[in-house]
Amino acid sequence: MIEFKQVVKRYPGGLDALRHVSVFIPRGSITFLTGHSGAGKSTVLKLITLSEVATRGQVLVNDEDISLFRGDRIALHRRTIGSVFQDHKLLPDKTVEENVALPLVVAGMGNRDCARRARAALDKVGLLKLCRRFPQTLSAGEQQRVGIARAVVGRPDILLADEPTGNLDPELADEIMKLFFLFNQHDVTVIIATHDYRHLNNPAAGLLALENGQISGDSYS
Amino acid sequence: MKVWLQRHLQVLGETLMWLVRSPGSTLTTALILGVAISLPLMLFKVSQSMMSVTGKLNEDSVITVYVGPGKPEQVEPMKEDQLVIEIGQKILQIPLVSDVEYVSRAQVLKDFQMESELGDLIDDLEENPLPAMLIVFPEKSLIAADLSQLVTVLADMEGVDSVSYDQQWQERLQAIIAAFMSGTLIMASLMAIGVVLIISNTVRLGILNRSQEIQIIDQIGGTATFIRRPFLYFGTLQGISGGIVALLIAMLALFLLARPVNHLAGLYSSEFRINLLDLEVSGAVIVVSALLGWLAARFTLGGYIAKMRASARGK
Repeated sequence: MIEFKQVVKRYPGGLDALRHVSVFIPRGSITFLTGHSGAGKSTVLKLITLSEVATRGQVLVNDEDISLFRGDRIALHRRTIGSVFQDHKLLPDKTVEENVALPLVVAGMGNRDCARRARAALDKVGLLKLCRRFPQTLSAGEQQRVGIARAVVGRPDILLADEPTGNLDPELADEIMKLFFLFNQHDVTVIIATHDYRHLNNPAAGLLALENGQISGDSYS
Repeated sequence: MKVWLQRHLQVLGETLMWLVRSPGSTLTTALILGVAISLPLMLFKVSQSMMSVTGKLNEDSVITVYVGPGKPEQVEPMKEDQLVIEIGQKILQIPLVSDVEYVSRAQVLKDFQMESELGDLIDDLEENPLPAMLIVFPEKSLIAADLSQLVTVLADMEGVDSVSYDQQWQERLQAIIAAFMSGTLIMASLMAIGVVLIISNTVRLGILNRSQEIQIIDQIGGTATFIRRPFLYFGTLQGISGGIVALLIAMLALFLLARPVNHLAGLYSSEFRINLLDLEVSGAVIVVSALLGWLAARFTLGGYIAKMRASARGK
């Protein structure tokens, strides 16, 4: 589970991205994180991946205060999280399969296992036939699915997605959302930051609404 | 272990490809590094050659001891020779001395006759005016300071009139070589700093080109060691390429210099010879260059990663 306790995040320059945020996200849940631009959605995700550190308060993942992590402990923590980005963040000089296998390579897995698991992840997102291609030759939807395959290839406990459907048309966006629900069925805690209100009414998902750095709606409380 | 080796070989291959893909900048960097490393390398080889000459001089050093005031005024020639032999035996017991050769008065006179071409004049002398002497061979391992100390000990011995040893010019030569070596060392240190800065700069450019990759790897759980690895190989390979170019430059320059300098030295009957690079020095150059490249990459990446992580903490 993920818990924020009175978390404040102040960026240099004095901007408060989060103001005394306290939330509890259960293990194995799927949660939509919504709010206007600048409400603090991305900051919540960055605090979980330790791309940012809380100015005050505590961020607990599985009852551990992750802001105390240093050095390689941060890297090990990140290996338990799969991240999907709006702009995919794929490496252009690596093939689709190599991009997907990257988290496994980083974790020290052998070449054969990396290839096998990368292909399995690509198969899940329906892109196995494109494994030898380079990312720039794929459509935006395909690139996003490669990003998702990379995020889940390491079998993470938590899957975070920051505006994963932001650049996609509605049909492709629905397809991508289905994938997140599919992975959630495998006991992966999924948090999706999104503007897309069409998906927020899904009864299977929790909802956290942010406004000006504060929680304005919490389906878990 | 197998996976670790597999990963290192893979990174090494990728880094080689990285260098090969930009041949212009790789070659330019190698040439700049090569020129920077070759200068102190050539100076080192010249000073090494000079040191071998002084070593040879020390090995060939002999001290001539003349026996004089301590002996009785009118002592029979036989007794006088006996006295000199006794002094020689005392000298032989000094630990710094390897051997002592006794040269009798008659032999001294004979040598003088031959060398001075004053044979007839000397024949007219009623008695031999020249003293017997002792030629002292110091231990070969002695340095100039030890020889100087030995000369002082010999001069203070009872029965010794004077000691002849042309040490001043040797000391001067050794002082010149010491100064030359210090200069070489300073230049080598400055060049090493230069090499580190050059490689650091190319690594920094590499970081800029691959900043997206670094950030993604960092995001998906890459440790600092993993992020550093390709850059460490990059820096090390750049260092090695610079070292190889430096060896080629130095070999060519020493080869071109050796003949005229050795000929000149020969005209002055000097043993000075410019030696070409040996395997030991060549190996040391490659190892040191590789190490400098590794260090440059290590410090540059260390700073970058620390900065990247500090910015996450809002510092």
